Amino acid sequence: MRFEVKNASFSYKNDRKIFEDVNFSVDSGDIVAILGPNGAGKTTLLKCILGILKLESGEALLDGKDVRRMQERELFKRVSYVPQAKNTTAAYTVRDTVLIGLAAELSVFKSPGEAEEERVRKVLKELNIEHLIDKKCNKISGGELQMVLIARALISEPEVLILDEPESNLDFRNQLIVLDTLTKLSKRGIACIFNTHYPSHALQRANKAIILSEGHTVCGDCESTITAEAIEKAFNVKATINEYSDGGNTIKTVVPISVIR
Amino acid sequence: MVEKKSIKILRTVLLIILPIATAIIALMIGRIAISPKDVFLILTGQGDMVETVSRMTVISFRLPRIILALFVGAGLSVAGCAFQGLFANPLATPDTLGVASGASFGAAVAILLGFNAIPVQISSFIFGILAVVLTVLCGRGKGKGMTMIILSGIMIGSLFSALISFVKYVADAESQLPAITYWLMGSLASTDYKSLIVGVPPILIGILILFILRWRMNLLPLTEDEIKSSGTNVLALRAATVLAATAITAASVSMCGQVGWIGLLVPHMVRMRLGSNFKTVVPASISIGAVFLIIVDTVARSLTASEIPISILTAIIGAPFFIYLMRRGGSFR
Repeated sequence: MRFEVKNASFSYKNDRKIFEDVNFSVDSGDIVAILGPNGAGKTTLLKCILGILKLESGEALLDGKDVRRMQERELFKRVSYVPQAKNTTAAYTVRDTVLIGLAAELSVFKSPGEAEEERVRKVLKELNIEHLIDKKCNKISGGELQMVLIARALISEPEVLILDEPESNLDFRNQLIVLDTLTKLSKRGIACIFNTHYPSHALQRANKAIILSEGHTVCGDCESTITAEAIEKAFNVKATINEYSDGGNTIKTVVPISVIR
Repeated sequence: MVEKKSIKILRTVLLIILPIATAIIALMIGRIAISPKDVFLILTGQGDMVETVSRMTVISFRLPRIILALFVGAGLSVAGCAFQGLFANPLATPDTLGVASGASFGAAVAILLGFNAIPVQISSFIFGILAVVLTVLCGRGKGKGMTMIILSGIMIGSLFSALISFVKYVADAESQLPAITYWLMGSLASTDYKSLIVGVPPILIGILILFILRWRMNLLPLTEDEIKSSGTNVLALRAATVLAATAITAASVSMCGQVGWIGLLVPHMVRMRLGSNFKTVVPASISIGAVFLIIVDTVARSLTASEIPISILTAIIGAPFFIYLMRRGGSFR
């Protein structure tokens, strides 16, 4: 599997460019982090990748095929989307919510049955949330809901997982649970592309990064892309990158110091 | 797991039997009480052994009327279900979205122009669609909250109500005006088999479409991006739902006027008991809706010497329930 974005640019009707000249490629097992200040177009870029919005120029290709030209059904059997948890709280049970992830597979007139329910149990178990199966989605915590939405995306066994700020609005523990899940999935060969407001998370988990910002979007290998200078340029803050050693692991963090005026 | 499956089967059997049983019992009730034995004989084609009055009452009056109540009740309930999903709003129904008023206006105009059953239905359907489109256009945009679409629906509804008043004003006071007025109040009394043949098919087709799509209707209350990323054609799904629900509403209105509130009452009663999954809510609403309207209509025709218009009864139950739901707050999104 190879996912490519070439010379992508986007602007809303007659408005300033949201982003331009975005180039990157994703292979199986990659974790790609998309960073950028508020309004830089992170969510817009994800929607373009999903073929929901049309790029102004450039293209998003899945194995050489333009996502806008692919049948929706074919595309979304291979690519799954995890929206921001705060936007979705329909009052379904966790079981029913996760089953919705199979909509691209089942024909329009079919309902899921016993075999599909078995797959729900399997994917919930994999994510250690099988105890939630009969709970209602509007009665569980934000961290649990995020994991349920990931389960909904995973049940169709996609090759690419696209997540919009999966660790926003979560506490430390739940952030780590979500990030660990991404790492685990990438080891299984699933490519993950996610938006984040935390440069540290990108440094710790991703192998590729994109920093969107007006005029100087940078894409590439994570270590060389997320530097103190790049953060300063994109976010207009003075920043530093710290290293902390925990046993054998080196953990890098990006620390914002002060606003550049 | 085994136990759960048996509960499911039991529920399905109950939901199938309940409307049929209610219909048979309703055949016995009325100003002339008819014994179960006689009803059985009439239904099994041995009517010769029963008094002619009883036979005529069951076959010519009660049976077509109960068949109509069965389809209209089932149809309006499932249409309510569909609209609630479509707008992710528990208060959305054919009544609150203005669809029923639009469809009534369409039918009233056709009656005024002297058309018969089929053009009345078509005109009713067209104005029903027009009303829902207007409601959507007016109610979307910035203040997108749950109340916007309902306020917009109430406005479009009152606009069409005003137009209906105008139709009444210009109608012939001797014959057309009473006809339109009584029909609008909602009555299943004037039903015969001929009107059933014209009116029931659109309802049946609408119910079938929604029944087939029932699991996929779970996508309706989700955000547009979520629907798209499930590989579903958003426009096709929404269009199929709106057309089916509006066809049901228009056909019901053409046959028995504005029988309000059922689309609100029944789906919510079902949801309180069985949860929000459309896969179970749709079939249960069809069944319980049929039972509900047969019961209400039986009460309407047998409680007093002269018949009570059915919309009066449904509104007396419906309005307090609407207020209860409104205060409880929506649980769709």
